[in-house]
Amino acid sequence: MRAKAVYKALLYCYPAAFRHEYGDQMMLMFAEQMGEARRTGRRFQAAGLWIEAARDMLFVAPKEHCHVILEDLRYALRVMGTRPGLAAVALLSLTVGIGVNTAIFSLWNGVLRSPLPGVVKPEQLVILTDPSTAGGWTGNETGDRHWLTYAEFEQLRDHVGSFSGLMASQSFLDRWQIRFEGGGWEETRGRLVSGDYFQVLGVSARLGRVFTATDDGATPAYAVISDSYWQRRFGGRADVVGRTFTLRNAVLTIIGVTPPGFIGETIGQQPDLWVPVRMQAAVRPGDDLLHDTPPSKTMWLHVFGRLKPGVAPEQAGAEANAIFKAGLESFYGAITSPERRREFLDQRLKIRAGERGASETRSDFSTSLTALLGAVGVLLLIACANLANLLLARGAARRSEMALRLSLGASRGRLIRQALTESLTLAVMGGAAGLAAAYWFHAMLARMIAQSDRDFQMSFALDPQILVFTLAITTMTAMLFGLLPAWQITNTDAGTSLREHSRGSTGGIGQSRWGRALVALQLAFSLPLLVGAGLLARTCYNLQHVKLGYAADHLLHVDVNSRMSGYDTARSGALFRQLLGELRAIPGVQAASFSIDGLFTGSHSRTKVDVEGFTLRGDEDRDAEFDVVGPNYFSTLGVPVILGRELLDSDSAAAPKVCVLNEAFVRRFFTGRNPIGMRIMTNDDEKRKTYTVVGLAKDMRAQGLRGNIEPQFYVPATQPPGDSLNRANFLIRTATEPAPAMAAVRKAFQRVDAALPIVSARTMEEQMAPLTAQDRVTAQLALVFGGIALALAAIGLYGVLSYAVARRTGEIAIRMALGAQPAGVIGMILGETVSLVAGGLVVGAGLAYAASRLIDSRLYGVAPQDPLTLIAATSLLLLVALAAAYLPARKAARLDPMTTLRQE
Amino acid sequence: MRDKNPDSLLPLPAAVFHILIALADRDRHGYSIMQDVAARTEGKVQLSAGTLYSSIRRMLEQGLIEELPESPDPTSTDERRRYYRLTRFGKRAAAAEVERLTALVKQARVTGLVPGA
Repeated sequence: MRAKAVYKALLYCYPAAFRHEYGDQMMLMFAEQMGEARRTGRRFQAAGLWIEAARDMLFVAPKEHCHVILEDLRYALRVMGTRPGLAAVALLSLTVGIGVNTAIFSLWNGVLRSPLPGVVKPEQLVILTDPSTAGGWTGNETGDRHWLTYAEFEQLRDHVGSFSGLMASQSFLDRWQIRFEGGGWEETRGRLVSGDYFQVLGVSARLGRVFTATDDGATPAYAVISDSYWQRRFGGRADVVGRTFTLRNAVLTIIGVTPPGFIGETIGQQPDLWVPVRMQAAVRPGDDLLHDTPPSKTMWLHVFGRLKPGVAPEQAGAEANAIFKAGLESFYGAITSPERRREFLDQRLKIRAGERGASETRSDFSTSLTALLGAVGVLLLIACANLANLLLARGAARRSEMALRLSLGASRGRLIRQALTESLTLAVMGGAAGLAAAYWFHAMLARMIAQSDRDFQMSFALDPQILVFTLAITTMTAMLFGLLPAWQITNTDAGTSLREHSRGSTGGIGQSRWGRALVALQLAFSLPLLVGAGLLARTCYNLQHVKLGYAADHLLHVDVNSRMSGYDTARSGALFRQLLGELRAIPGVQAASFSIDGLFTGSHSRTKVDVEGFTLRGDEDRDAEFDVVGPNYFSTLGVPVILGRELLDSDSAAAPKVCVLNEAFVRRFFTGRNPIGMRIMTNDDEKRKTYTVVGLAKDMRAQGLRGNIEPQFYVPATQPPGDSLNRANFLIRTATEPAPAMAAVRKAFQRVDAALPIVSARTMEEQMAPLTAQDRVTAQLALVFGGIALALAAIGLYGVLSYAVARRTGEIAIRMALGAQPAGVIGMILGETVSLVAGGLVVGAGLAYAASRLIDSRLYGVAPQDPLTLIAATSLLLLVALAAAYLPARKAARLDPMTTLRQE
Repeated sequence: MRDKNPDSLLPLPAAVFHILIALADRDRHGYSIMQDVAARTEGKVQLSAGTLYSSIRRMLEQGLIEELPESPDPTSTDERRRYYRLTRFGKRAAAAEVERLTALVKQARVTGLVPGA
C-alpha cells in the first residue's frame, strides 16, 4: 500500500495533463508488476521496478514537460500570427524597452559598480588618493590629498609595512603622438606608471613581459601595450614585442601585451600603452614631475596599495599617514612661520576601497546614469501596462474561445499557463532583440558620454551580470504584462461567457475597469518622465544662456605649449609677444591676447592673498583665483573695465607690479572701499609678491558655468606670481566667421615657430561644448523617453476608449434617439476621459515631485519643484489624452441611432 | 493526420516499433503490451510505465494507434483498463519502417559489412 502511495506521489513529476490522462493506467500497471514480483518472490524484480520508476522521473517526465511547453509555444506563435500588427507593436516596444534598460544598466553597472576588470583580488586594493578626480596640481594643498607627488609615493612604498605592494599611476590619461619606424605620427592614449604597477594589480603579460619594480632603478625605455591596441594596431601579431617607436624625446621598445579585458586602474578609460614613470623627463619634456622644490609640490599621481592579509584599511591608513606626516615635516622644515607651518602640515591621506578603481566619470555621471536607469525602468513599466492593455482588449475577443475550452474540461491553471507562455514568448523574443539593440544603444550612449568626457571608453560586455539582468527584466516584463490579462481572460464562467458572446457583447465590465486602471497608471508614470525631461531641457537652456560677461562668438581659443619645444620662461614671454604681433596682423582679426589658464580648459590657479586694509576674521579663508594674462586681455574679450584701466603692453617686467580685480574680489576683500591703488600680496613664502590694483573688471565666467564666480585677480604675463610661463591659451577676436580664420591663425603660429606644439585650436563654441554635453545628452535622452511614454499612453488611452465606445453603442444610440446632440456625445466621452486622466495625473504629480529630487544636483536655474514645468508637462499630457480620445468620441457622435438600435 | 506520409515519422523509435508489433495481432491494454514485448524479446526489452505511456501519448497524437471506446474482451473484469488498436496509418508506418530496415540490412550485406544470406 505504501509503495502505491509513493508511486502516486512520484507521478506528480509529470505534467498535470499527462497525469490526468495516464496516471491511473500507470498506477494499475505498477500495482500489477509489484504483485507479480511478490508472487514469484523475486526481490530483485521489485527493486528493478523502483529503479525504472526513478529513471522515468528523470528522463521521461522532463520530456513530457518539454512537450507541453513546445505545444504552448506553437499555439502562442499561431495566435501571434493571427494578429501580426499587435505582435509587431508588442515586439517593438519590448525590444526598445528591454534594449535601453540593458544598455543603461550595463553602463551604470560598468561605471558605478563593477570592480576593476582583469585585476587579481581587487577587494584587497585600497587607494590613498581621491579616486573621483584626475589631474595635476603644482603648489600646496590642505586637507585630504587629491593626488600624491612621486617622492611621496616612493617614501610610502619604501616604508609602509601594511601593504604587500604599492604602485603609482598618472591620474589623468595622456594623449601621445608616437611614430613607428617608417610610419607617420599616430595618436595614442597612455599613462606613466610606477615599475611595480602590474605586480600590485596582479597582472602578467599575455605576450612578452610587463615591467617590474627593478625597472624603476634606471630609466628603462620600455612600453607595455594593451590587448585592444595590439589587436587594433597590429592585428594581434606576435612580432610586436621588440618593436620600437618614438615618443617625443625617447625611443621606446614594446616589451609586452596585457591580457584582454585589462584596462588598468581607471574605470571608463582604455589606455593603449603604459610607460614607466621614470621616463617622465623624456616623455613629457620641459616638466619635472618627479622632484619638488619646497614649498611647492607637484601632485599628479594616484597611489594604490594591496593590503597584506589580515591588515585592516584603517590600520594601513594610520601607518601611511604617520609616514606621510613625517615626510611633510621634513619637506617644509625650512619654513619658520608657525602659522604657515600649520597650514602646510594640515594635509592627510584618506584611505578608500580601491576595488572599483579610480574614475572621474563615475562621480560626474553617477546622478545622470542613475536617473536615466530609473527613467528607462519606468518606461519599461509603461510599456508593460500598455501591452497588458492590448492583451486585455484582445483577450476580450478570445473569451469565448477560453470559455469553450473550459467547458471542454481544460483546467484554469492550464489556460493561465498557456496565456503566460504567450507573453513569455513575446518577452523572450523582445529580450533577444533587446540584447542586440542594447549593444547598439550602449555604443551610442558611450559616444554621448565621450562628448563631455573625451577619454571615456567602455565597450558592451555580455557578462553574466548583464545576462542575469536582461533575463530577469524579460521574465518580470512577461509576468507584468501577461498575468493580469491571463487572469482576466480565464476568469469566466463557461456558460455565462458563451451566452454573452452570442449576444454580441465583447467583454465584461471588469475588462474595462482594468483597462482604465492601466491607462491611468501609464499616465501617472509618464508625468515624472515628462517633468524630468522638461527640467533637464530648461537646465540645458539655462546653461547655454549663462551670462559669460563677454561674447563667445567670433572668438578663437588656441592652446600652445612652449616648454615642450624647449622655451624657458624668459624666452616664452618673448615668443608670446611675437605671436600676438603676428596674430593682430591677420586681416579680419580685431584683437588678440592670451592667458595661462585660458577659458574653460579646466585649469585653475589659486593662491592665498593678503589684502591691504583687510583683516581676516576667525577661520575665514583668504584664497583667491588668479590668472596670468597678456596685454589687452579684457578689451579682446570685451569684458568692461569699470574702474581704472586694463593691463597693457606698458606693464613690462621692469614696470611696477600691477593687477586687475574682478567684482567678486572687491565684494570679498574691499567691501565699501575703492580698491584702486591698494596693494595685494600673494602669499608664497619664498616668492611673496606685491601688486598694486590698477583696475576693476566686471565679473566673467572663465571656467565653470555653474556655481558662484570666485574672487579673482589678473596679473600681467611679464609679472607672474610664480616663476614659470610655459603655456598660453591665445584668444583671438575675429570680425568674420571664426572657423575659416583658423587656417590663417595656424599659419601665423607656424611662421613664428614651425615646431611649436599646438595642443588645441577651437572656436569658443567648440571649446564650451563639452561643458554642457552631459546636460544636453541627459536632456535629449529624457525627452526621447518622455516622448515614447507619451505615445504609449496615447495608444493605451485610444485603445481603452475605442473599446468603451464600441461596448456602449447601444446606450449612446438611445441617448441620441432621445435627443442628445453629437457635440453632447463628444463632450460626454471627453468628460469621461478627463476624469480618467485626472486620476492618473494626480498620482503622477506626486511621483514627479518625488522623482525630481533625484536630479536636483543636475539642475541649474530651475527648482526641482518648478511649477511652470509641472503645469506644462501636465497640460501636454492632457492635450495628448484629449487628442487620443477625440477619434473614438467622434465615432460615437456619428452613430446613426436607428441603425444601431436595430442591430442591437 | 492519417493522410500524411508515414516516411516523415521514420526512423521510428524502438519503443514505438515494439508497441506497433505488439498491437499487430490483437488490441491490447498497456500492461499487456509491456508483457508481450518482454515475452517476444525474451525479457531483453522491458518497457517502463513512463516510456510506455509517453510513447502511447505520442502515437495517439500521430495517429499510429487509437483508443477503443470499450473493452474488446467481454469477459474482462477490470473496466479501468484502456485498450489500444493499430490504425491503418500505423500499419503503413510499420511497413515503411520494415522497408527502411530491410534496405539497410541489404546494404550492409552488399558491402560485406556482414556475411550475406
